[in-house]
Amino acid sequence: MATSRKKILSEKFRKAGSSGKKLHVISRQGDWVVFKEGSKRVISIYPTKKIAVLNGRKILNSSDMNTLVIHKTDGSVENYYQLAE
Amino acid sequence: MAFNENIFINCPFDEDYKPILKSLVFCTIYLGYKPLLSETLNSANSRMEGIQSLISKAKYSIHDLSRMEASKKNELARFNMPFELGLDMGCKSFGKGKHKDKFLLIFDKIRHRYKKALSDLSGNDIEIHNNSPEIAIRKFRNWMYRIQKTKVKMDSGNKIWARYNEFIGDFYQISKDNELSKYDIDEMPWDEYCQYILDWKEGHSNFKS
Repeated sequence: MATSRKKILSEKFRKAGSSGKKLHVISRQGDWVVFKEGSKRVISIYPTKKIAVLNGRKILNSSDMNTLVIHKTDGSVENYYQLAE
Repeated sequence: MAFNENIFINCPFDEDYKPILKSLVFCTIYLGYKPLLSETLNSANSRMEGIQSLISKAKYSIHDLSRMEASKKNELARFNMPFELGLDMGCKSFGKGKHKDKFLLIFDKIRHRYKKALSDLSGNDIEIHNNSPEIAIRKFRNWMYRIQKTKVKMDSGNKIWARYNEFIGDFYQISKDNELSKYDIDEMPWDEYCQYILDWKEGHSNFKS
């Protein structure tokens, strides 16, 4: 990858996460949790991924959040929903 | 980085193992250490010399034996990882000065499995990750906490796992926005991946505990 592109990407990584507008659904010790990026506490804990995703969508639509990232158990991204500006 | 801040990560580089390796690399940088990986070695030198150099430069090491098996029928198992673990144990036992202070974390995927092939390790503590990046992060974090001489505050396993997921989400978005191909991502050199974790950490206002 070209050096100039690496610099651009480095800058993007430095700025990532600063909006605080993302919600994440992740697996945690057998449960599924919804949390806001950068937050020290989770919003809620659910026994199944299905319920966690349903509630994650509800929170997304009723808050000032604009993105919902749904993760697999290994942390990789399964779905990435972004509300239109 | 100094000897005290280096962690040699002696793990497989196959696709199936990548989620665990990525999580260990992230956790290493998150905790303020530098990961040393054999994949970043200068190809001008022999691989063995390079690995010995990494072992010599690192106070801490993670050795994962979970791929100590044949991937296909009639294929011999790969023993690079246990061989390098042996080198590291030798460095700690027979080395002088700072090498006597080395700490080794040994991982496998199933409890007691290693005893069938490496019974000499009986009596050593082996941590089991069950092929789960989340468990690998928690075990790694707890091990680092346990071996600290002076107990300084360290983020919980829950917090590091959450931050790792955030980083992965941001990586996904940045890759998409910048049209990184699957090839760009899959073949990204490890030192470049580490640099982006470092950039993310530096820029993340909520990162500090």
